[in-house]
Amino acid sequence: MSASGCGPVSYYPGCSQESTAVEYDRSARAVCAALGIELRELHDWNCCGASSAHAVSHVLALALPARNLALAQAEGYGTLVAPCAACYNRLRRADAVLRERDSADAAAVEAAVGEGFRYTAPVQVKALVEVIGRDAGPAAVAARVRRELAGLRVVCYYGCLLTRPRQVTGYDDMENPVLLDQVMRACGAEALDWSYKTECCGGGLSVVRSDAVRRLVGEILDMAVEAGADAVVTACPMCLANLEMRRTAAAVGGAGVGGGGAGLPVFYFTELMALAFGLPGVGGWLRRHLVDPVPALRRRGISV
Amino acid sequence: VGVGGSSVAQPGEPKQPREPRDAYVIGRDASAPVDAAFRRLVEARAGTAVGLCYQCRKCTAGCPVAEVMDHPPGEVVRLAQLGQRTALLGSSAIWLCAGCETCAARCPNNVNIPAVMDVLREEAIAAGVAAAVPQAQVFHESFLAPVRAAGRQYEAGMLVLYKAVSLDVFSDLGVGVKMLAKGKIPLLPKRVRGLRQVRGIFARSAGGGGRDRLGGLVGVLRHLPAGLRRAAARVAARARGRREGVAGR
Repeated sequence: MSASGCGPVSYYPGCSQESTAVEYDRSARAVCAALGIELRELHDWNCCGASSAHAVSHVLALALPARNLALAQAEGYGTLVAPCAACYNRLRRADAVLRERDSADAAAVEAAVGEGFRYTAPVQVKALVEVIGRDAGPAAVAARVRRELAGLRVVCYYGCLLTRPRQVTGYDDMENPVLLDQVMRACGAEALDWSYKTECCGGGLSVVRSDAVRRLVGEILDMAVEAGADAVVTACPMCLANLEMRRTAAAVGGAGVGGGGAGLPVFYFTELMALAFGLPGVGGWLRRHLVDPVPALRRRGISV
Repeated sequence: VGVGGSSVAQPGEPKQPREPRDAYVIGRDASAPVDAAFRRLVEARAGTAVGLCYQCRKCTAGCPVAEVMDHPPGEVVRLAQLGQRTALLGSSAIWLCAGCETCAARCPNNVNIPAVMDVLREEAIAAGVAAAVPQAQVFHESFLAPVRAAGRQYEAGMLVLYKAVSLDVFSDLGVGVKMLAKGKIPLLPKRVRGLRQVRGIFARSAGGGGRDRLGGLVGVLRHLPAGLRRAAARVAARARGRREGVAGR
């Protein structure tokens, strides 16, 4: 019996976890192992199509994630966990459509997936932060903490796809989600209230309209500085890459942050959990960031 | 000055014809005919009733990219109510929508604006309407090409395709090199075993199997890993040469 109380679960890493967000993948696996959550990587998973599939084709945008639901259904663990907010959202959408057994959409998606796929034993699609923050729960997280992140002031940044739209995610409060905040507090960090929790960072347009995206990222970082944060915490590889890449020096020039222009760092929540759990490997993960997060930790007396 | 800005006509003076303008869409000529059939098509495919919109503009107020769109979300819904096919399919709004779902979350009448955007984009592609933001369409095609070819994303391939087709070669080179150095852009693609099924999904999805502007360029994907490996080996050899040169001194 695992801490999540549900036995092994299928794990859908998603493409980012093998490229820009390897540190999210490694820290997610380490933290889950520490909590007794058994992740079994979904065999032969494919890309969910992300924003680009639904930009061009309704059926493609549902059928690409649906192939992964078909694989998860066959593996039979009953739960499919995605660390990436975008993958989670696309998988949830496909799941919602396929559960409407009599709809034309469901039939079209099943036909597109092919190979006789019928979604007769639906799986529970969950975001990693839900499995950790809700199924395992803050108490289990707190019980595993070996070194509290006392004094570290963070703002939790949820972005878009973890919470919206409600019909897809089932999230309780789309304007003020608290799940990540609870996990961070369980690790001993101070999770600050701020108003940009669910503002969009423009990740999907990052390459195409980097000018517009720079403004969005600048506003988010400015608000984090205004809230008095040492760091931003996220559960989305697109948000993290965007918040690191699309910042201008001026956007993080506020007092108290990133002295010497190092800038406000952005963490995956699992990296900070691993740090609080005293797990090995954290230093290597943090070195992969484009904005060095170590100085901000040091200022709060947290060594890596 | 009377209602609507026209001066009160004096007896005997001919009435000034009022310019037909839409009260809700800046610059729109209100004399353009309403196309109810197109409106019904959008409503049916998006599964939402644009007719419920009473133009409160909450969607536009919360939209992160409204200021770079030609028609912000509130205007898109208004144009959809009027079935303004040409204006909608040619708009930059449908290509700049970030898909963040803020508008849908806040709409008091549950108009599913992101679904409307998706339908309009698909319609524009199907009708062969030139994208008002061509690089956005190139990006999506470049993103999907490696997925069709290998089943998973191959960032290096996607970026090479995007840059080759959009001719936007020089932006982001600095950050790209930094990401390569941090190992965030793998040199080799990953391939799923069930590739036949993935390709079948593309072929069986409307809009997924169609021709795109990448054409023969997708063949680059096959040769890219070897090319990148050779380039990486050259860089490593040169670095080794430099180190040995320094050590030998």
